[in-house]
Amino acid sequence: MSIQAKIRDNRTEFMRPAATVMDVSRLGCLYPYPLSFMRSLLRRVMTQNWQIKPANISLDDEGYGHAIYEITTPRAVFSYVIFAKYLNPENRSDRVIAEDWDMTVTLCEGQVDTERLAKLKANVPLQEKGRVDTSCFVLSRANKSVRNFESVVTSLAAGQQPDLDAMAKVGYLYRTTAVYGSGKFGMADWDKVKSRWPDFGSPFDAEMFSCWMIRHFSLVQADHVAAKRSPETAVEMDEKIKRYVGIGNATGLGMAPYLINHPLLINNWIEVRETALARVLSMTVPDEIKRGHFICLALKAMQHLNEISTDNEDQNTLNANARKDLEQALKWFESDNISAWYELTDYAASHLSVEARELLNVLLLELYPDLISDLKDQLCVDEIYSLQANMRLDDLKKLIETHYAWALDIDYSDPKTQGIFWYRSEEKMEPRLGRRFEEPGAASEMLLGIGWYVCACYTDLCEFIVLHSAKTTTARFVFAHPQHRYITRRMQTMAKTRYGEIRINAIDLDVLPIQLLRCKLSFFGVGKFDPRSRMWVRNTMFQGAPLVSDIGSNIGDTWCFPIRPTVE
Amino acid sequence: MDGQAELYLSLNELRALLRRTYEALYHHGYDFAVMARSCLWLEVHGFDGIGLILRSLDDLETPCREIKLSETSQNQFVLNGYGRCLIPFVNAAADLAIGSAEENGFGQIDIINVFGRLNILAALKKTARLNLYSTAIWYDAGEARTHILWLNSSKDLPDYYILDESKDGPWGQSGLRFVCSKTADIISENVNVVLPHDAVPYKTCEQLARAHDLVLENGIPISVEAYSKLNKIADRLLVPSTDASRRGAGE
Repeated sequence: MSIQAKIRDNRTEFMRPAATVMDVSRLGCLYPYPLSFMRSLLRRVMTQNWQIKPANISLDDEGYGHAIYEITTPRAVFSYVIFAKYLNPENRSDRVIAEDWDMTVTLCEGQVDTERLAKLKANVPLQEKGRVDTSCFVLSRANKSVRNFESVVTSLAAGQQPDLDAMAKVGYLYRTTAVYGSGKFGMADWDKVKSRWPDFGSPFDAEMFSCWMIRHFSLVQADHVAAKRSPETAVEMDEKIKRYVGIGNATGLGMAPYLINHPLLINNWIEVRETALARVLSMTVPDEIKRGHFICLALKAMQHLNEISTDNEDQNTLNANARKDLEQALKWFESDNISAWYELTDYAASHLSVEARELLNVLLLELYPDLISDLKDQLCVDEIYSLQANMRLDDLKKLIETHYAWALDIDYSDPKTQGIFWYRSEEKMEPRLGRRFEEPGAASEMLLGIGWYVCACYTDLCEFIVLHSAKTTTARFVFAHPQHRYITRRMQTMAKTRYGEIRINAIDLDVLPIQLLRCKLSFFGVGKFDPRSRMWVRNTMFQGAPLVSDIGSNIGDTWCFPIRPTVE
Repeated sequence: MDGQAELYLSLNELRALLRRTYEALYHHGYDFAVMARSCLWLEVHGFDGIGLILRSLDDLETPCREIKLSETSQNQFVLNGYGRCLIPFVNAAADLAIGSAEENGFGQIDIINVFGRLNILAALKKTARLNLYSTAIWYDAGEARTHILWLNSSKDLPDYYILDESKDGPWGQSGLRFVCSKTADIISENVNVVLPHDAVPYKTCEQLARAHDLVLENGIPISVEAYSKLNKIADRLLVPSTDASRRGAGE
């Protein structure tokens, strides 16, 4: 078969089936890719040459005080406002229920004068207990990695660069513990952000920008404190090391309900990703240049995996196996002169772990950014889950059997399959898991066990059809069973999509919410996953990313799989 | 809105609060998400959706909900609410007429013996999305005024008319008629029976759209008292914190 014949125009042929893609265990193996939100955002910041200037910096010798940065984009001026303070170590917690932080921030429209600064100062440090107005569109906070921050400052103050071993182990100076947007606490709604401030009009642009600025300030603060501590000897941190410093993040259960409650959006994100992969597989060939790029990138990814340090043995094993698998794939690739990339993915499908296969897919996507970059504009979707009132019940029944067979296959008579319930705690409404048959609170459970609701609806639907007629309408069914109206319109809507729902039984006793977390974080662009339990994960954002001072330089979008820098 | 507006909520914030409020009232027995959206829709267009909830609380808190549906023809329904608030079943009731209109070109439901009839507004918004024409007509005996919502062209929102007079109809003293159709003339026929040709809308669809834009820009004003009342209901969903529950957060 000729190369041309192999490189098929029909991309649909390369779109993986929903049963493969939407399996939650696979989604829990996703890696960041070129259209991940922080990557797309920084490409735009760099190519549009955004100007980020300190407008009002007032810090004491310990780096406490406030800092305002003015951001000029092609369309508007924004301000990033930071409040840094001393935090009693006893109060330092990554949990959402914490009430005090080392750093609190907001991103807002326009410039900030004295009066506005005073209002922000009275509210931003309070976070959930404060109120801001609709000129603000991100509210966030971060805590120091105390040991690492102090170690870095001590080194810099002594005229030395930070210990790279320690930096490689931790990877950041500050850790964000919550990043709020979309109208929380009085902020601007997403619809306003999207329409009024298109510079932040892609999903999570503003939130990612905020994390990038926290990372920037953490570096500024470390240099500042070192210089104040020892003006005679202090040096600034080397720029290569600065780029290697990311921003830590702790993500818990709060992120998981988002994925289940926004199936249209998640379908869209997945479809964009799969379309990108299908384009690469169907439209490109591994010529000499791309072969070389691929080998370099694979080696970098292996080194990246090798350098990840976590105390979680399962994650260490996953990383080690992925690296080993990638090494095996690379050997095969170098010994076999393939004529199409899908030969490599076919090889991976039969020889490598799921983790390694997803990693390999990302390597291919990294080779052809220009081929897929336009897809970033398709990440947004208006989420409307409208009831199709006139759908005949036999059609509805068939729809469920076709698109929700995965849910109907769950045996809910087994207590284990509904052993967990999700609820909101009275502590800041923090989402938590309870054991259904052992702990109180199931009567207040959140609507997240989609499979269970599908099965309950299906059972009543079958009964209704027997009692009435298969030819009657969905409207009559949901009028008689109003408890099924939500799940019915959801199923009708999702059945029209290519990928549909994430296939997860979120109320199973053995559910692994961390798989959902990693899926979403990969779309953010987050790497270096460090699971602390099945319910929360530490990770690193923006490691290897350009610095604010890199804007205007020719630094490229090549910071995936960050590796330890070489510093002379 | 009664009381002084002291707090501005974003649409998303209010939507989330309303969802939790309805979820706390009914758990998952009704489509709490769409109920919240209907109320939000009223609020953002200046129709005091929150006040409507708070004034209806006694009824909404009463669990037994006996309503009776009958079909007078394939496309026409009558629903007796037996004096209950319309909020919990307005969307499912409107679905019946909408489904018939999509299927047969025309659908109608007369909902009698209910209160909180302004909640039908969101159903007209839905018909707009489905490229249907629609109207809702009711007579408020308390105010001696007739209300007409009329989605009469390919707009996203209806015009809202209020007449200072009683107009007889099947809606009676405490009911409403909701009609939707694939063609404009059927809706016009229904409306023209009660609406004078020279009537001026109380709110035009353009005014409603501007009201939405305004709250998107500045947030929705809500009295601290109303906000507190809604939160008090919504907080029934919260589960007390224990050592076991903290383990359920990953500790």
